[in-house]
Amino acid sequence: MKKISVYRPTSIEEAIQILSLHGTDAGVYAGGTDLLIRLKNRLKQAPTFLVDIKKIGNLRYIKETPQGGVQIGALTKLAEIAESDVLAKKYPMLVQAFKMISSPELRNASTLGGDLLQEVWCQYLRGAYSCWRNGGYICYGAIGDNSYYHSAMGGRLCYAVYPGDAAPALITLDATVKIAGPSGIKEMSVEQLVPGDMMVDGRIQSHVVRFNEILTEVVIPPPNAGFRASFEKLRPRGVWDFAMASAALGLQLRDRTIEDARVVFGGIAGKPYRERAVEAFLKEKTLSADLANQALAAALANAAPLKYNATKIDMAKGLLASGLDKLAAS
Amino acid sequence: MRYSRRDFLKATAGSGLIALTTGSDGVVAAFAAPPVPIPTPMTKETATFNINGRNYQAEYEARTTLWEVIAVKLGLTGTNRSCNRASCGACSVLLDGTPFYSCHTLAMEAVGKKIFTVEGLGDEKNLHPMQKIGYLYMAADCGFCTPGWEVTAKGLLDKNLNPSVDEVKSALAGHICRCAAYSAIIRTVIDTGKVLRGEAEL
Ligand code: SF4
Ligand code: FES
Ligand code: FES
Repeated sequence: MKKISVYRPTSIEEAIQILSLHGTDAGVYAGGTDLLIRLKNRLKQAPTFLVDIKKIGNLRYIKETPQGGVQIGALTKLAEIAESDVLAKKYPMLVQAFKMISSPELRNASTLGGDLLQEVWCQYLRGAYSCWRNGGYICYGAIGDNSYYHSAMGGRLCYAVYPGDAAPALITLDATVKIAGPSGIKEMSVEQLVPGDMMVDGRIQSHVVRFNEILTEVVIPPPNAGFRASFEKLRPRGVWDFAMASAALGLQLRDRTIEDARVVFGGIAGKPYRERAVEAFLKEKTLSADLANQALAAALANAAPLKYNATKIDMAKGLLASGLDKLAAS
Repeated sequence: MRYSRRDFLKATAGSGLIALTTGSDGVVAAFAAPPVPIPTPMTKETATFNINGRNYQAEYEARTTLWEVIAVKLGLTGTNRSCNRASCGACSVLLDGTPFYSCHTLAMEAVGKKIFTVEGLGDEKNLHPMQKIGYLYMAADCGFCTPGWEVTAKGLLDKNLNPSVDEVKSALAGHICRCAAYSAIIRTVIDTGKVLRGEAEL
């Protein structure tokens, strides 16, 4: 593993100072499940100075807001979210999605913030190839084996897909995040947090958190009556693997009429792919058994698969259909 | 695999757009004078590890993993490391009763926690019921994955002495057995629960 030094600040301010001091040589260390792989494979983009934020006391909690929503600290373990009774009652889809992330042992180690901000899992990057994300000037994914980890919806420089499951599920719930930085706390939606393939501080990353900022909290608004959601995920094995494709759906219903819809695909594009065409199509439709077939016609019209990953589009459409069918049957 | 010119253009982004740039104010924006002095970072330290109820001293680097401390520095070689990238489960240990992959946990994370490894389960002279039953059912073929799933199964049985087959399957989902002794492993855990509950004799 790459040689590292670890800071253990006890307050956010101190952590931000240390991050500012070292610039992009430093990185936040929490669960470490993504970071340790990058350190073990000695990626150029892996940090030399780790800032361990687990000594900062107040970042691991799940609490209800007075309005009925939920605040989740960024250091909350994925297992704690998957097993939370509060969340299971308010947002069953979220809990269902978190139960499908990785393996039980890794859910005990990984944090919510880490899942949202994880690096892509392109095999070329993780294998320390010198690609765009790792200080080089080429994307091996676009010309090499792009059957699993690469975008079927086009790309700019890096063609890797955004791998996480938390973000599509949270976007469906209209969640927002808080980010602490040198000049105070910023708030943005989860959708704005992970726009995919961004150049930030001279590096390509999937999220917009800068080198001296720390994601501190996710806030989910109160669930409305008549809101139904589902999360579908397709992967080679039932554990560990990232989504070949996933679909998070949220429908705001008045009786059987859809008032508002959220359709977010994961694992097919450089960001959680919100399909607004299907959302617009579903509005004011009646939830029925044959709705799925009609919705599919509107889905993913601007797909741009690479050489080996056209199946991702079929998978995503299939997941959308089965999600809609489930919601129609419930 | 054959590459077309179009693929190549995609790869070098010759035809692509330039990604948006935020944070153009430079990469390193150091504070002129830090309000509080920044401590020196840890690269190497010595600490006490509590493994199976015994205390051990070990010196480790910031990058040393828990498995390296347990098996290499302290010589408790029962815990196997196979993939070294959190993808197989052979190296699992319990930290305060919760299973973690020791190959993918930095040593410093385990300081101050109770570490439980397969040595804590039983030894040649004094086998744990799970090990005896596993032996009878041939739940270990090559034995490489065995210390990992036994420890995780112990963590499960400590919380739930009467798990269903599905509960055992989902608790042990993070373990690969290359010899595919899965059905014997699941039977072993279920029957160990029976013995520990006193419903069956060994
Ligand atoms: S897809 Fe991204 S991470 Fe993979 S080789 Fe291309 S630039 Fe690198
Ligand atoms: S050796 Fe740790 S999970 Fe495989
Ligand atoms: S017994 Fe050989 S790997 Fe499980």
